[in-house]
Amino acid sequence: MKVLFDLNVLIDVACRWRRFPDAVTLYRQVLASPVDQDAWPGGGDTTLYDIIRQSLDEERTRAMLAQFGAELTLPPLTAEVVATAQRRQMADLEDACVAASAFAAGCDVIASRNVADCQASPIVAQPPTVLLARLTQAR
Amino acid sequence: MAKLTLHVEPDIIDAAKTYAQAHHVSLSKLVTHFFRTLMFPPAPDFWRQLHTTLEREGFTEPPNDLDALRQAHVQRQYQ
Repeated sequence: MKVLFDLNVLIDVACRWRRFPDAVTLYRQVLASPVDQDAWPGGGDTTLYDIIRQSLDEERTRAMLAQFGAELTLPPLTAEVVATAQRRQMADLEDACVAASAFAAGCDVIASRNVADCQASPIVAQPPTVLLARLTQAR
Repeated sequence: MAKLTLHVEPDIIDAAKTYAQAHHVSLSKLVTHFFRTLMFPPAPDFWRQLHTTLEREGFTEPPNDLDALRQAHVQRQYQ
Protein backbone atom coordinates (compact mmCIF):
# COMPACT_ATOMS: atom_id res chain seq x y z
CA MET A 1 0.00 0.00 0.00
CA LYS A 2 1.34 3.44 -0.90
CA VAL A 3 0.52 5.91 1.87
CA LEU A 4 0.79 9.69 1.66
CA PHE A 5 1.06 11.23 5.11
CA ASP A 6 -1.05 14.36 5.50
CA LEU A 7 0.54 17.29 7.31
CA ASN A 8 -1.57 16.85 10.46
CA VAL A 9 -0.24 13.30 10.87
CA LEU A 10 3.36 14.41 10.31
CA ILE A 11 2.88 17.11 12.95
CA ASP A 12 1.60 14.39 15.29
CA VAL A 13 4.71 12.31 14.57
CA ALA A 14 6.92 15.32 15.20
CA CYS A 15 5.43 16.93 18.27
CA ARG A 16 2.10 15.39 19.34
CA TRP A 17 3.27 11.82 19.82
CA ARG A 18 1.68 11.43 23.26
CA ARG A 19 -1.78 12.56 22.15
CA PHE A 20 -1.72 10.64 18.86
CA PRO A 21 0.44 7.53 19.36
CA ASP A 22 -1.25 5.78 16.40
CA ALA A 23 0.29 8.35 14.05
CA VAL A 24 3.78 7.40 15.23
CA THR A 25 3.03 3.67 15.08
CA LEU A 26 1.65 3.94 11.55
CA TYR A 27 4.62 6.04 10.45
CA ARG A 28 7.09 3.50 11.81
CA GLN A 29 5.22 0.54 10.32
CA VAL A 30 5.00 1.99 6.81
CA LEU A 31 8.66 3.01 6.79
CA ALA A 32 9.82 -0.39 8.05
CA SER A 33 7.63 -2.39 5.69
CA PRO A 34 9.15 -4.08 2.64
CA VAL A 35 5.83 -3.87 0.80
CA ASP A 36 4.37 -0.50 1.77
CA GLN A 37 5.54 2.81 0.33
CA ASP A 38 5.46 6.30 1.80
CA ALA A 39 5.15 9.87 0.58
CA TRP A 40 4.61 13.36 1.95
CA PRO A 41 2.89 16.24 0.23
CA GLY A 42 4.96 18.36 -2.11
CA GLY A 43 5.27 21.91 -0.82
CA GLY A 44 4.09 20.91 2.63
CA ASP A 45 7.45 21.45 4.25
CA THR A 46 6.92 25.20 4.66
CA THR A 47 3.62 24.61 6.48
CA LEU A 48 5.29 21.99 8.65
CA TYR A 49 8.06 24.45 9.41
CA ASP A 50 5.63 27.26 10.28
CA ILE A 51 3.64 25.07 12.67
CA ILE A 52 6.37 23.00 14.30
CA ARG A 53 8.53 26.10 14.75
CA GLN A 54 5.87 27.51 17.09
CA SER A 55 6.61 24.70 19.53
CA LEU A 56 10.29 24.00 18.97
CA ASP A 57 13.48 25.92 18.39
CA GLU A 58 14.94 26.55 14.94
CA GLU A 59 17.58 23.84 15.14
CA ARG A 60 15.18 21.07 16.15
CA THR A 61 12.53 22.16 13.67
CA ARG A 62 15.02 22.00 10.82
CA ALA A 63 16.35 18.65 12.06
CA MET A 64 12.80 17.26 11.99
CA LEU A 65 12.20 18.50 8.46
CA ALA A 66 15.52 17.02 7.34
CA GLN A 67 14.51 13.71 8.91
CA PHE A 68 11.16 13.69 7.09
CA GLY A 69 13.03 14.51 3.89
CA ALA A 70 15.43 11.62 4.43
CA GLU A 71 12.73 9.11 5.36
CA LEU A 72 9.87 9.98 3.02
CA THR A 73 9.44 10.18 -0.73
CA LEU A 74 8.55 13.65 -1.95
CA PRO A 75 6.44 13.56 -5.11
CA PRO A 76 7.12 16.52 -7.41
CA LEU A 77 4.77 19.48 -6.98
CA THR A 78 4.42 20.28 -10.65
CA ALA A 79 2.38 23.00 -12.35
CA GLU A 80 -0.07 20.28 -13.33
CA VAL A 81 -0.50 19.10 -9.72
CA VAL A 82 -1.10 22.70 -8.58
CA ALA A 83 -3.59 23.32 -11.40
CA THR A 84 -5.41 20.08 -10.53
CA ALA A 85 -5.57 21.14 -6.89
CA GLN A 86 -7.03 24.52 -7.83
CA ARG A 87 -9.74 22.87 -9.92
CA ARG A 88 -10.79 20.46 -7.17
CA GLN A 89 -13.97 21.22 -5.31
CA MET A 90 -12.34 21.21 -1.91
CA ALA A 91 -12.82 23.92 0.70
CA ASP A 92 -9.14 24.23 1.59
CA LEU A 93 -6.51 24.66 -1.13
CA GLU A 94 -3.84 22.99 0.99
CA ASP A 95 -6.03 19.89 1.39
CA ALA A 96 -6.58 19.99 -2.38
CA CYS A 97 -2.80 20.10 -2.94
CA VAL A 98 -2.36 17.09 -0.65
CA ALA A 99 -5.07 15.22 -2.57
CA ALA A 100 -3.62 16.15 -5.97
CA SER A 101 -0.11 15.14 -4.82
CA ALA A 102 -1.41 11.78 -3.62
CA PHE A 103 -3.19 11.21 -6.94
CA ALA A 104 -0.17 12.20 -9.04
CA ALA A 105 2.12 9.97 -6.95
CA GLY A 106 -0.16 6.96 -7.39
CA CYS A 107 -0.93 6.65 -3.70
CA ASP A 108 -3.60 4.23 -2.46
CA VAL A 109 -4.56 6.22 0.60
CA ILE A 110 -3.93 9.46 2.50
CA ALA A 111 -3.20 9.07 6.20
CA SER A 112 -5.06 12.00 7.75
CA ARG A 113 -7.04 12.94 10.84
CA ASN A 114 -8.87 15.47 8.70
CA VAL A 115 -11.01 12.94 6.82
CA ALA A 116 -14.10 15.15 6.73
CA ASP A 117 -12.36 17.80 4.63
CA CYS A 118 -11.05 15.20 2.18
CA GLN A 119 -14.43 13.90 0.99
CA ALA A 120 -13.84 15.30 -2.50
CA SER A 121 -10.32 13.88 -2.72
CA PRO A 122 -9.72 11.40 -5.56
CA ILE A 123 -7.67 9.33 -3.09
CA VAL A 124 -9.47 8.15 0.01
CA ALA A 125 -8.28 9.60 3.32
CA GLN A 126 -8.30 7.47 6.46
CA PRO A 127 -7.18 8.18 10.02
CA PRO A 128 -4.06 6.42 11.33
CA THR A 129 -6.09 4.13 13.61
CA VAL A 130 -8.11 2.77 10.69
CA LEU A 131 -5.05 2.43 8.47
CA LEU A 132 -3.15 0.54 11.14
CA ALA A 133 -5.99 -1.98 11.33
CA ARG A 134 -5.98 -2.28 7.52
CA LEU A 135 -2.24 -2.88 7.41
CA THR A 136 -2.43 -5.48 10.18
CA GLN A 137 -5.25 -7.26 8.37
CA ALA A 138 -3.28 -7.29 5.09
CA ARG A 139 -0.36 -9.14 6.68
CA MET B 1 20.78 -4.79 -12.03
CA ALA B 2 22.67 -8.08 -11.68
CA LYS B 3 21.14 -11.56 -11.66
CA LEU B 4 21.24 -13.72 -8.53
CA THR B 5 20.51 -17.46 -8.32
CA LEU B 6 19.25 -18.82 -5.01
CA HIS B 7 18.52 -22.37 -3.84
CA VAL B 8 15.40 -22.33 -1.66
CA GLU B 9 12.91 -24.96 -0.50
CA PRO B 10 9.95 -25.13 -2.92
CA ASP B 11 7.33 -24.47 -0.22
CA ILE B 12 9.20 -21.32 0.82
CA ILE B 13 9.29 -20.16 -2.80
CA ASP B 14 5.54 -20.75 -3.15
CA ALA B 15 4.79 -18.89 0.07
CA ALA B 16 7.07 -16.01 -0.91
CA LYS B 17 5.44 -15.73 -4.35
CA THR B 18 1.97 -15.73 -2.80
CA TYR B 19 3.01 -13.03 -0.32
CA ALA B 20 4.63 -10.91 -3.04
CA GLN B 21 1.60 -11.21 -5.30
CA ALA B 22 -0.79 -10.32 -2.49
CA HIS B 23 1.23 -7.20 -1.71
CA HIS B 24 1.89 -6.14 -5.31
CA VAL B 25 5.64 -6.31 -4.89
CA SER B 26 8.30 -8.34 -6.71
CA LEU B 27 10.37 -11.10 -5.11
CA SER B 28 13.47 -9.16 -6.16
CA LYS B 29 12.30 -6.17 -4.15
CA LEU B 30 11.59 -8.32 -1.09
CA VAL B 31 15.02 -9.98 -1.26
CA THR B 32 16.70 -6.59 -1.79
CA HIS B 33 14.91 -5.22 1.26
CA PHE B 34 16.08 -8.19 3.34
CA PHE B 35 19.71 -7.77 2.27
CA ARG B 36 19.54 -4.03 2.96
CA THR B 37 18.37 -4.66 6.53
CA LEU B 38 21.38 -6.95 7.02
CA MET B 39 23.87 -4.46 5.62
CA PHE B 40 22.41 -1.28 7.05
CA PRO B 41 21.03 -1.95 10.53
CA PRO B 42 18.64 0.78 11.60
CA ALA B 43 20.30 3.88 12.94
CA PRO B 44 19.35 5.06 16.43
CA ASP B 45 15.72 6.07 16.15
CA PHE B 46 15.69 9.84 15.53
CA TRP B 47 12.09 10.31 16.65
CA ARG B 48 12.38 8.22 19.82
CA GLN B 49 15.53 10.06 20.85
CA LEU B 50 13.99 13.44 20.16
CA HIS B 51 10.74 12.65 21.96
CA THR B 52 12.63 11.32 24.97
CA THR B 53 14.68 14.52 25.14
CA LEU B 54 11.59 16.71 24.79
CA GLU B 55 9.78 14.78 27.51
CA ARG B 56 12.74 15.26 29.82
CA GLU B 57 12.58 18.99 29.14
CA GLY B 58 8.85 19.15 30.00
CA PHE B 59 7.74 19.81 26.42
CA THR B 60 4.06 20.76 25.95
CA GLU B 61 2.43 19.38 22.83
CA PRO B 62 0.83 22.02 20.55
CA PRO B 63 -2.99 22.17 20.29
CA ASN B 64 -4.97 20.17 17.72
CA ASP B 65 -6.34 23.16 15.86
CA LEU B 66 -4.08 23.55 12.83
CA ASP B 67 -6.03 26.58 11.60
CA ALA B 68 -5.32 28.40 14.86
CA LEU B 69 -1.63 27.53 14.54
CA ARG B 70 -1.60 28.76 10.93
CA GLN B 71 -3.28 32.01 11.96
CA ALA B 72 -0.77 32.52 14.76
CA HIS B 73 2.02 32.08 12.24
CA VAL B 74 0.47 34.54 9.76
CA GLN B 75 -0.02 37.11 12.51
CA ARG B 76 3.58 36.87 13.60
CA GLN B 77 5.03 36.81 10.11
CA TYR B 78 2.90 39.25 8.14
CA GLN B 79 1.08 41.62 10.50
